[in-house]
Amino acid sequence: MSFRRRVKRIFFQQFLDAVSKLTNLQETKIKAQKENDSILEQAAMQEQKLLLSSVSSNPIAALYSKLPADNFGRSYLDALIFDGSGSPGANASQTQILARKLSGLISKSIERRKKILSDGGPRFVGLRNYFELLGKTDSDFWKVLWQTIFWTATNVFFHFLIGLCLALMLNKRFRGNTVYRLLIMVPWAVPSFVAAFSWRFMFNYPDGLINGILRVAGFNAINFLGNPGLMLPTCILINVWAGVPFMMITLLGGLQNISEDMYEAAKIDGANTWQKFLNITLPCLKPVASIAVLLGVIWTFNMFNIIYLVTLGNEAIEKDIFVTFAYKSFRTHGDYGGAAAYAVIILSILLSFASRYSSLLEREERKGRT
Amino acid sequence: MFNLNSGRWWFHPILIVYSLFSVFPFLWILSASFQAKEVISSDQMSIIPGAITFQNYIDVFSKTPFPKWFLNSILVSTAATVIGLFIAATAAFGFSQFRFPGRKTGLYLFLCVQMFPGAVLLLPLFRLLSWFGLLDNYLGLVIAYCTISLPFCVWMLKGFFDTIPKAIIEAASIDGLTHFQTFYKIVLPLSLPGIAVTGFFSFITAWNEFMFANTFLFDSDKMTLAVGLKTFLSEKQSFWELLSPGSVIVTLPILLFFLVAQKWLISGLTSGAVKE
Amino acid sequence: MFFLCTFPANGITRLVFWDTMGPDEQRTMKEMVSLFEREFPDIKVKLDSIPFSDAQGKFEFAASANVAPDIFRCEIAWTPLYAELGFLAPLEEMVEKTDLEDFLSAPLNYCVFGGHLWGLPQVTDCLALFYNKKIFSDASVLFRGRVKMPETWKNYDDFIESALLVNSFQKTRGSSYWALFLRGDSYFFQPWLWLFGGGLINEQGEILIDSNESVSGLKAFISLKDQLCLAPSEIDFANDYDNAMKGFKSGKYAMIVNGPWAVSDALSGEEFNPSKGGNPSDFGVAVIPSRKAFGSPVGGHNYVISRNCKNKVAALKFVCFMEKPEVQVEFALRNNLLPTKKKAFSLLMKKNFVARDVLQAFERQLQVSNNRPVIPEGGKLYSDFTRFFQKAFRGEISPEDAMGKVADEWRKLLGHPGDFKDEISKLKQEIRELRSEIQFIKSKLTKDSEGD
Repeated sequence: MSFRRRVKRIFFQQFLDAVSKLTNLQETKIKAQKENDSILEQAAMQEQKLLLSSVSSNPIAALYSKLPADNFGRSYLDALIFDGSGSPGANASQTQILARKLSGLISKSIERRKKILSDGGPRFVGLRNYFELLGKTDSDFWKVLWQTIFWTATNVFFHFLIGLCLALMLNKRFRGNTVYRLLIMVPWAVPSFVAAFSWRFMFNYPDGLINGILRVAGFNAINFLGNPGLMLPTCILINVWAGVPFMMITLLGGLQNISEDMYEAAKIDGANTWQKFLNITLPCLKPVASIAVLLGVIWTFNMFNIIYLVTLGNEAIEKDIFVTFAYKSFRTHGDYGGAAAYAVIILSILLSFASRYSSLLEREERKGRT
Repeated sequence: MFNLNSGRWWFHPILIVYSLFSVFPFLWILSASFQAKEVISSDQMSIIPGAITFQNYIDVFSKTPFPKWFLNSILVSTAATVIGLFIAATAAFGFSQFRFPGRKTGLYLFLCVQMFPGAVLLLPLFRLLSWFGLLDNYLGLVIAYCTISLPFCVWMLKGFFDTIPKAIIEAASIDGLTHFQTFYKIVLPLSLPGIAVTGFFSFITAWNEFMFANTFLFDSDKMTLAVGLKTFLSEKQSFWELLSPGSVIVTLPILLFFLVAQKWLISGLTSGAVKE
Repeated sequence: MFFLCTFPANGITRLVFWDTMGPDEQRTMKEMVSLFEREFPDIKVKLDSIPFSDAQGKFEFAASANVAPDIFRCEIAWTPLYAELGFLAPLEEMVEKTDLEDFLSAPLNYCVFGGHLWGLPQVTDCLALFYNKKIFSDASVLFRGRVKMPETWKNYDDFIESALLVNSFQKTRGSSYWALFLRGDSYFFQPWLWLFGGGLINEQGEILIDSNESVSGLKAFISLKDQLCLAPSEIDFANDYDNAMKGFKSGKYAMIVNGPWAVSDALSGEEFNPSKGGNPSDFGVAVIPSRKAFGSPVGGHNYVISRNCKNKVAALKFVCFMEKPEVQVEFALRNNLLPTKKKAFSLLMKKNFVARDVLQAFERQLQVSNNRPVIPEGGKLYSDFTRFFQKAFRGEISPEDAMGKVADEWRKLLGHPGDFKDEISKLKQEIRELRSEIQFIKSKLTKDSEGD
């Protein structure tokens, strides 16, 4: 919808005309007053009254007559109708302000949001969203990209390492096995926002539980969530905590599928524990492990809740990864197109990773066979 | 408990330490749930409660629609698990046992959906559900949950089905079993650990999911637990006296479900029986 | 006519109301809804509680699919945005002048945007100074009456003077005791902007955040903790709200800045809770002292009616019922919330309840408070603001740089003047045409009057 039509829709042409006429009549009136022309002054005033009554059926006029005198909205209209400061044709910046007031519209991003949500759905804009996004890629963008990679790599590494160790232990039968499994599952079972909030309380500075422990141990309290350098590592710790159960249970499922006979045969061949692990467990676990790692990378890359909720209230970008960064930009600019462009960039990064990863796996498989 | 002769005694210290780390925040919530409202929001809140009260639990059941949310969540999660597992298992069987054009692409397409940040999928899914008239409807929500859990479930189950020796499937077809019978009578029982893991995964995804449930359901009588719990946070305040007992109760069914599902993991179907 | 077609005989109108309150207020709301249904048996209201944190997006989605609720409790910053997106029904033709005149001006300002009335204010709030009377009187004893109580402060200097004395008293109690606690959040910093003559964005859409006055406000704010050492300087930004409240409740901090939503919480603390040996009358609230001007941001919520509401008359009836002074007083008494009507305040002051003086102080603060910009982007200003404010708070960048960067971000957000170039020239052309027409009318007018 064009700007003018928008103006018309909101204010109606009739009213716009009336406003212009009114302001001009006001000018005439003042001029007449100066020149002591009482007849012209009277006529102008009469015309003004007539105009006002003719627009009184207009919603704006209706609102105007009902609002208390000290209301903002009323003072806008006041300015517009009587003192001439918002008079059309003033200098450019004033016209700009007037146009804003008339249309009630300020920025492009809101207009786009409106298009997607109400004015007949999205419209094809070519590559505009991408150009804009890449045009904005200042140092923040690259910083966040590296943080995302660091975040993903460390998280998945620890998820897999800890998950595998725990799964190997819990795959054996011993007393208390079920209890341990149950306790290790707890992070997955707690609703994530509750878990994030309780971690936030525990990392509180200076009086949180963890700082209490540090102090008892003779260290100084650490501002985990206020210090930009420590926020990301703290979030990684929390996300490792949250992600291990999934990895553990998936690998445990995979381990269950390895036939006991193979170990028996290896035992007969005189293999030690390490050799059994390297030659039987790992290769047999590979189908399950590779998909778990791939999904782990994808999920961690897009992991929103932990960082967002744990550091809620701290707006530094030193803790941001792509999704939280994009979300922040969406919250401020409200641009669905821009958010979708971000999502496609995330998708293409992950897709290129996934294809590289799977071809690597296949190559190794082929090597293994020959 | 500490059977020193088994050679696995050193498991225990490691597992105890890790278990402590793992339940640590939960202990905080658990302890808060037994403390008075004034204590939780003050400096005096500690992990070992000074005075225990059950008032929070009574409040959460009597003053809020918590029981209703609980039933809703059970319904939605169970439906999501059953429907999701059925679709995933049949799809995985197809992907695993048959060679057809587009097989690999199809598998990777499943992953593609996961590569979008969830929040971006919200508007398209909302529009789709709106077209099909499935807004404010459990079926719509369950379908939306399947889009989250299916990729993992299909890949996971395919991995399990792949390990079943070809000979068994061939033997089955020689015995005159149809594809579906093979799937139902032979493949499924042999992949119980996988079914357990994926079933648990589907259940937990649906149980703790907030964003979809909040956006696709309007009627607060239909609300699920995760959404309901979040109404205990107002604009500026958190009502921990309701949130903490709520969270404890939300966590329990999952642990219970896990206890049931993990039986299939522990018994470790001796795959030797099906060895060639 | 309108009534006839929307009220079928004996028909019952069903309205859906999405409410984003916490569990305590919700309970009051439920009772009020049943009171309403008793008074209007032909209208049934279904109260749906929506988590506040995600209500903004939820309403947006629902409204875009025409399944929005009839009535929504809408945060003030969302109101112009939804109005701009076309999700709300304008109300100016339905309300009467008498409906509007009793509202306090600050909250009502948030309902008027682009020449229409989009809602009615449900609740309002502003920031004020919370202080611990016991600490002040103890400090006064120590310094032989040199400590002035906050209600007697005439200006900002009195505040600094007393705060320094109170701080020395607090230090005698322990190193973690302070006169003040300052949050690292831009919303809570805003009073200082206005105190020193600065601002956010003015009515004309000009950005004031990087003006000299605003920067001196930020400098003064930071000097409170860095130079004057009245408050802890290392802050956990993620937990500082809770830390402020906990410290205030236990007497660690003599003063904090907070809003009416925190009154019930503050009264439950050990310093003010009779069951813990505290005294509720030790809890005081004072107007933030003025320097060049007074300053406090007004917040709150509006009732809005959505565009797709089938029976707007009934919806407005419900809203007007909830706006009744008696109903607002109920909310104020039970949940310590600020009413939006003058009558409700005067009614409230006749009652006797614990937080009476506190709410009265908030009313005083409200009279000298400032509106946030009423623009669709109103709610989106704070993310960038807080980011650079926190950098300045930590001393990573200078106050000038911080405010300059905020202004840069806001300029990007609000659009450059060049954005509307074509449209404006078209508008100008149109105006020129109008002018010539008016010239014609004018000449005719002169001729007519000459003819008389």
